[in-house]
Amino acid sequence: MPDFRFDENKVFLENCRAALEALEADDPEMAAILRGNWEALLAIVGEGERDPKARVAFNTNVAAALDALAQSAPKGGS
Amino acid sequence: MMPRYFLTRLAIEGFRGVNNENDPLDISFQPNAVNSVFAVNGIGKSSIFEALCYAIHGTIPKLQLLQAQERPQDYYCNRFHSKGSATILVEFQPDDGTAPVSVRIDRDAAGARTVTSPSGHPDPEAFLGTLKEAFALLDYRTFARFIEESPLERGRTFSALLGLAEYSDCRQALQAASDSRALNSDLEIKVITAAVGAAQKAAQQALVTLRSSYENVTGKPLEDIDKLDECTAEVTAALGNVELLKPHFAGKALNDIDFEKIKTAIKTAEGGEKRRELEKAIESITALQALAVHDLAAIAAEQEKIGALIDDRDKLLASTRGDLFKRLYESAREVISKGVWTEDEKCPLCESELSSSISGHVTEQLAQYTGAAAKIAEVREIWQASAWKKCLASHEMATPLAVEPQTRQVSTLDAKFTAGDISKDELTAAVKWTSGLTAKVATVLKAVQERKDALEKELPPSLVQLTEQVEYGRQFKDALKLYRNNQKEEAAQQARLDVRERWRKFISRATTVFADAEAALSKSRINGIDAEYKSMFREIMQVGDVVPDLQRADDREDLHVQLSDFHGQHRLSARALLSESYRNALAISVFLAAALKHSGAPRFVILDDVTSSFDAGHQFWLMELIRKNLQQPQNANGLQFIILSHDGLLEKYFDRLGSTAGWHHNKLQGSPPMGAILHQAQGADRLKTTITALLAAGQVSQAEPLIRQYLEYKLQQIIRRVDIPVPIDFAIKDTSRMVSNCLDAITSAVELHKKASTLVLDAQQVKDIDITHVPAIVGNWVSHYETGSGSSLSAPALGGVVSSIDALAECFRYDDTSGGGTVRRWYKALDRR
Repeated sequence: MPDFRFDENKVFLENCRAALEALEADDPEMAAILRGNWEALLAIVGEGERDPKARVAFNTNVAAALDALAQSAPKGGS
Repeated sequence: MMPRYFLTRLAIEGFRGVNNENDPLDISFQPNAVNSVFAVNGIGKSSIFEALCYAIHGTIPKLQLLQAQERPQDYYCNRFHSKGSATILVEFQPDDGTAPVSVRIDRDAAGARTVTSPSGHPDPEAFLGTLKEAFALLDYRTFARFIEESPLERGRTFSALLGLAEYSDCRQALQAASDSRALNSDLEIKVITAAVGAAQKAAQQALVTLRSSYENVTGKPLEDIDKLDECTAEVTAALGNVELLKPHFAGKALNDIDFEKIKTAIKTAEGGEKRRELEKAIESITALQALAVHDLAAIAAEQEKIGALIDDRDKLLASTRGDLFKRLYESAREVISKGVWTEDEKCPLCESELSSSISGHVTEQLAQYTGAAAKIAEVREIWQASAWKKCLASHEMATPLAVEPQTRQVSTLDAKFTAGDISKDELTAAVKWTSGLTAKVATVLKAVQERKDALEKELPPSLVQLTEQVEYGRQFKDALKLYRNNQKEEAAQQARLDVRERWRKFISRATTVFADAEAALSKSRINGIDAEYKSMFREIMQVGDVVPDLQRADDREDLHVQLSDFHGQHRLSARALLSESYRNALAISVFLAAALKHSGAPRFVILDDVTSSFDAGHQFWLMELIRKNLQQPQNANGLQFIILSHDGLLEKYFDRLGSTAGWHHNKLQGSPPMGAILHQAQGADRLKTTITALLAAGQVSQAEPLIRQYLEYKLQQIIRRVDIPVPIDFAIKDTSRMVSNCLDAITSAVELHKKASTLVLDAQQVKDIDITHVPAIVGNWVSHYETGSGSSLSAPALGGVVSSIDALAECFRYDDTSGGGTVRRWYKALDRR
């Protein structure tokens, strides 16, 4: 994918959506998992403070989604 | 386009230094003017800033720094308020002309916060959340820290300031989620890798049995493992052609054949104990042969490696000082990393001077603990994934070796390796135990083989061979099932591993993409304020040959502050060269330039005592910069500024501009934390009404602080209105003697003009001042209360003081009849109307 850049005129969430769309070019299935767990991702760091429990919760969700993907139709990404 | 908000009103009761029970401190602010709030020290100015912090952020930074045992929660509400609760009311005016929003924040005595909206906003807490921008509430500490902080901390502060806090948090979240260690543990990658290995190993073991049983049934080796279906057909055919077995095989696939039933049929044909013993011997031989799959040389290498790691672990543990010191070092690291302790060559416990760096010492000590923990983890991981563990488990569970359950070691070793406390001696014993078991295999195999041969000789040859054939057929069937199941399991676990590897690559790539985009956005915003903050810095400091420069690192959030020009020299450290006032001017310039560019919900900036390090000249230039260039509507894209200050010199500036259209000035007076704080705009009349009511009820002690407040207000009103000069140290003199300071300034000025024959006051006014009013105030207030002597005066005497100050103020006013009617006016000065 070409260099991705945020748009000065967009708000944070709009730029996040744009970043996810750009990442879909790399691996659409993985990008879908990240998109589905975006709120859980944002909970990992709040006002500069990391929350390890939120990270574990995010990765647990991701692991479940990855297992479902592996069971349904395993295929290679880029 | 979402509206932005001006702060138009703040009312406080029972919060921090503001008691004001049943009579809130109520201040209005104007969106179109610079708003200043002046109060001498201890009058509650900081409480205003803290009330806004609490309203918007829900906390007060100063109290957050307290230890839990200091009970910070007990210091939010005013400690003299009878209910122990607090109320803060804030009103905001949108800049698009829509309806104002008012929000009321209550904190009850138990510390519970409740947010409501008298104006009917559907979600007032969320509304306050939109005002949490780094530029809205700025105090001296924020600026002072900006230059002193590490480049990383400064970079994070700056991200928030540029409206990039969410981007910074999100990038850090991605970094946390893509961290290798976190991925390995959270996604169970090691567990799944071990499951793949276990399935492979089990399939290999099944394959050994598959090969031997195939060869025993068909008399030829199994050469092509990819043709297992054909091999299965051959085994079925070989057994199905035996006359005795034909009925059991006819038309059936191998998987459907009941070998137990066949064995029973053979036993029926020729029963006996020796037949069963022969079957058992054959089973034992197969089981013992399967144990040969373990690679003893590889296992010996694993054991040696574990031994070496245990030695390393023990050495590292020996060099540490135990768990208690570990906790001490970890606490010290936190104290140092958070910047609580900045004197690196001083001990934070005893404050004695050190000859070396405390942070270096703490890092070195903790590294020893970390090293030991890493070795323990490494030992545990090697054991869990080891061929040794699987070999030992197989041998202990192998029936022919007859290992008694109570003598089995593998679960005990597992617990010890998991806990990380296995000793070298225990390891040596475990190695010896394993070697004993592997050596025993050959002995037992030889004995079982001999017994099998003996039994075969004793039993009828045809049925002996048939029994063997059937048993090998059963083993082939079971091994085939096991082999295929483990292949499936391996494939399933491998798929889980593969998809996780895809995720690892993806999330790492996502982190890089996001971080690069954030860095580019941050640089762009820095460039966007570059000219602005440099120009502001020049304006405040009135210098052209000191030029600051902010540089963000390419691959990190670090923000470096340099001087691109320092009296002709270039690219030097700002931290090393700039004095405190220059540093603060730079920080203020950066914050204000960023605030101007920001498009967040707050369109106001509260500055609390930010000029403390400035001399009068620099204070003036900063105020002029705000007034002329930054305040809206002077600047169409500007902000509303609210400046809180205790600086006496700055007060003169506020007083001068306070009556102009572009400046709105408030002055606080009062007697916190017990008494009330009032500002001029709240009206002296209200104060006087309260005093009169208290005196009428005989509540003299409650009335006294209000009388002092009223006297100070009226005397300063005379000074300001009639332009009476005051000594240069007027504002910094003992504030408890403010009444006599004011009286001295007024009587000296009157005396001076009297002697110069320039006094504009009429003779009766001069006489009343000299003979009646000033002596009454001095006699019944100054000489009593400012000297701290004796008990309270009577209510009538204090009522007389209030009347005297009103009458004294009237001596500086006249009836103006020049416009036709009569208007009561203040003299412009002591020498003119």
